[in-house]
Amino acid sequence: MERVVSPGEVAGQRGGVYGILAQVFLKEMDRALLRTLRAPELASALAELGLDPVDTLGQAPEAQVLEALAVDYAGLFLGPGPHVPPYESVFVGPDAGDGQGSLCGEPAVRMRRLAEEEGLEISPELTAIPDHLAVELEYMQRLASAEAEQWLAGDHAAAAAIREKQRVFLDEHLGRWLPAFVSRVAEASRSSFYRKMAELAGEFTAEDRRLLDDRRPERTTGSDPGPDPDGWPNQC
Amino acid sequence: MELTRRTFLKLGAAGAATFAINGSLSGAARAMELKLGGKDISRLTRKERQAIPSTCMQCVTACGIIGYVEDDRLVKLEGNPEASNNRGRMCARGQAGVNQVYDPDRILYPMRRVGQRGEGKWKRITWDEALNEITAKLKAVRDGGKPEEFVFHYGRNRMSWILDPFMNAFGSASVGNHTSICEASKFVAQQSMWGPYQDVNDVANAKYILVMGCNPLEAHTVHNALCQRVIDARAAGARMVTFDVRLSNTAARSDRWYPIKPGTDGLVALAMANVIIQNGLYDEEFIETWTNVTVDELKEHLAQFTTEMAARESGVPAADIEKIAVEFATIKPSTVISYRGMVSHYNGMMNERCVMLLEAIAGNIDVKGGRCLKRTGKWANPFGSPKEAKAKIGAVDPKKDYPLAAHKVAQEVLPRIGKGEGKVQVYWTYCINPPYVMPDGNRQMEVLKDEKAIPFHVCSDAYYSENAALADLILPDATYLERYDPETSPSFTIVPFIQVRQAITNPLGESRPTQDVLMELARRLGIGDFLNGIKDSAEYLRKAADATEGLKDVGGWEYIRKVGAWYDKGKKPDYKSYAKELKPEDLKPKSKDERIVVDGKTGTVYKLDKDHPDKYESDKQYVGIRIGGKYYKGFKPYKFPISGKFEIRSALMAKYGFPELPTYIPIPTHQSMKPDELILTTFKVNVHTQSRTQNCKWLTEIHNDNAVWINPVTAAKRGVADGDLVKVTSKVGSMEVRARVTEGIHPGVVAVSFHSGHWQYGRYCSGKKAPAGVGDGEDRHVWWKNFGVLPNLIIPVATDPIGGGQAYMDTVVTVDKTQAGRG
Repeated sequence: MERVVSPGEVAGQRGGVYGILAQVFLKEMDRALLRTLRAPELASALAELGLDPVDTLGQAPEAQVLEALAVDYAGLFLGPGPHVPPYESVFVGPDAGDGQGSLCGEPAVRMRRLAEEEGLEISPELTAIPDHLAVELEYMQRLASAEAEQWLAGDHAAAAAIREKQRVFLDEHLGRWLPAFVSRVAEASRSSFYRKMAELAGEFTAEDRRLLDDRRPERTTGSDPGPDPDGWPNQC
Repeated sequence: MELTRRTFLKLGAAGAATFAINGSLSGAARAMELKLGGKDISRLTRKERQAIPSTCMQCVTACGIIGYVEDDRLVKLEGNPEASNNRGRMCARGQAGVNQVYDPDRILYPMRRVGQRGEGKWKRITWDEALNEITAKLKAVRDGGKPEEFVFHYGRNRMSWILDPFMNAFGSASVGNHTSICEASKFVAQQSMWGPYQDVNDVANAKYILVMGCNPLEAHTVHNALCQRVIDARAAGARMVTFDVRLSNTAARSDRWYPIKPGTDGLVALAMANVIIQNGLYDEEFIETWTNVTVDELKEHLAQFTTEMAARESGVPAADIEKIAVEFATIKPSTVISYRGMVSHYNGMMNERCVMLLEAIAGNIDVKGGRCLKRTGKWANPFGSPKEAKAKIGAVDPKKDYPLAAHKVAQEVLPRIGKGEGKVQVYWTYCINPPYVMPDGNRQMEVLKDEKAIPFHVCSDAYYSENAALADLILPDATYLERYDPETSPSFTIVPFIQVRQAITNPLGESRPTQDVLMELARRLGIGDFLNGIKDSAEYLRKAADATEGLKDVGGWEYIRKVGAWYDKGKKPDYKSYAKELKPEDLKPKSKDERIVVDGKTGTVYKLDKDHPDKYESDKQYVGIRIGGKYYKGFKPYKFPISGKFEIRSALMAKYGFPELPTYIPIPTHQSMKPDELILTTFKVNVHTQSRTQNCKWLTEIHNDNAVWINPVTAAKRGVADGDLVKVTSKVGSMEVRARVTEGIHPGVVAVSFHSGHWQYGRYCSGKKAPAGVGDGEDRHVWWKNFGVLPNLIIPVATDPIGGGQAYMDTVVTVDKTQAGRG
């Protein structure tokens, strides 16, 4: 019989997926990340999603794999190359005449503010702009983790509020541009790894959005969250 | 991909363990971190935009600007009212500077090529790796004893304050530029006559303006300053007559427009000079006192240039030449604005000499409303004086073929390197794009691709230009809105000014100003003594401001960083600066081994010292000029050791076998044209600058495609209708382009603008990059489908043998309707 998953665990695991994706898109892959992705635990989970790291990354020596991925990453996400800039501002043009398609549009400002509201700041070492895909993914990771903590602490109202924040963020930010980004990457990519990771990000985020719409957390039996004034009725 | 919520979550379980926020993946970079301290920022806070003055660099004009910053983001650019040249006004190009910073295809990291040069595969490297690699290469060049094999080739260079001492300290004089693809021939003509290159048409005070081969209302050097003053003059009733092969917006807003045959402007100027002399309308005092010819000599020389002869060659009616000449000499003040349309010819340098002669005999030299010498502000230089290195000139030296080409011959640099004239070990390009901007771009590219001719190509660029695509290493340059430079420009108030260029925003990504890169390299190469311990361009500018005469009295850096510009508010225009008398102390030797002597024949007062012990051979020796027993400042030479008088008769020209008096040189390739051949000329539009603004979306939305202008008579003979696709063919290539059939062009000429036809430089320029966007927004991003043609690809390398300028306006072509016909 399958183990029952509590709302806190669900949130933690959702954060885990965003965490992997954030690391993948943040910069070129390094040795540590490659080894982690190839390690049995993650590899098998990825393989079930059709993304067997052994197949996708090949059997070549580490240095060779990393070099090839670095070239792909540069061509796709840094340019010159097929170049699909991984920035929300490039995909979402907010105000007429305010430079649609340019870097550093309003979304970059809003992303920075959202981070600041969580008491976060963009790492000084991060030379990318705040509305970079990795930042938005990590933001979701942090919110999901915070949600998990609230579940575990028993503060269901706080957990529900953070859940709402995630829903709004997907609607107003990540979800608005990720589908277009993914299809551009799919058109442009020479490498199956980044194309597959982008597709994974797209499909996971869409699925996650549906999950967030559910009126109840992912659970079958087990711990009862109890009545929730913020709309998480106990309907188990 | 079969995805279920459960499989996702299984991945998440693994990920949660591995990628926890304070996770176990050691050393993994995080995109965000917890902020220390109790800062609280509200979503509702609307902060005041910060206003930072700086200097534009969308073209060479150097307008004062103000950048508005909100949330660390540049949101808007305006003109700076404190800047005396542009007086707070700004053109479309300047306003679109915002787009330069946030171009989605901007290069933000150092990139090294992977695979073959030009293959288009790149890898990000760190700045440290990039600098280590360059340092090693440059060290090897220097240690090998041939520093001149390091060639630095720049285009728009507003950083000579660091580049010159850097190259000097390195020991290489192999510095290429881009002046000869613009106005070098004009500059050389001016240096041969009155010393400094450049002029300032004091049009604000003019009553009669002749425009020869230029388009000051749409594009010009120091454009904004000139343009707004032409408009002021016109509003005040000044007359304007334009000679141009094409009905530009300037021509259209003139009292009269003459579609002149290309390359004959100089002859028309000579014929006008002849009319003025024969009718006694000349400025006798200026000619007899300040030039090195007499009225009688001029009368005799000019007699050959009759209005009838000029009319035959130029197509401008003789009676009109006569009428304009009389008006020009009698409706005062008057001046001639002349530029590339007149000087980018085989005979370009001579054309400018003819116009300078016309201005001189009409008494327009450095007078109110006339053609003035330039006044530019002077910044202090906090660097140590570099040792006078005996730098050698390598591959870029044009002297043996072009002895007077003082601004070099940029269009021949790569072709010469390709022919093996001058060896190159390291070729560094900065703010230049030879495949696109130079003539015969395909030849330029062949050389750039040739790893034997150019073993290592470093390119500093913020964008993936056609040149960057052929580099080995791309260094992401900061844009002009993210860097520091001391600035000035020829003053249209005739009072010199200085302006600051300071970072309005921090360099995006890992981009870094090339200025700072050169300073860092100087330290790494052990040649950084001249830096005086100054660590970067920001510190240089602070120190320069605090030491600059005049500025330091009002607050130095603290003043100019807030105001953006400085000039002496009490200073009035000093017209006729050449007639200023020298003071007795100016005539005294400055040191023991100096002697001041006077040339009995020319009147030139010059000094002799240990470098120049017995004769006058360098402009640096010039002191002044003696006329009638008095000593004057005169026309101070620059590079060429001319006399200090306005030299209508040029010993310098004679020395190298060129005509010593201004004359007409017919363009050889135009003398043997077949009946169906035409002359191709190029032009600029009012929202673009050369090659470097097409990535500005706001501008490219306005102008993204081009067409070849062709006269209805010419078009009819070829069966071409407006909008047809035609093939324009020269001896080096052909291009297909739509025809714009218009009366606004000379029947023997076709013209096409030269800002289009990029094949790199990002999505807005070439459409090569995937257009980005979602939903409704998608089509708005790059809604235009045509990116135009680049005429430079079919224009051969052709050099003015005197001035060294590229003869862009001479190309002989045929034009035929294509098979595709009407589209």
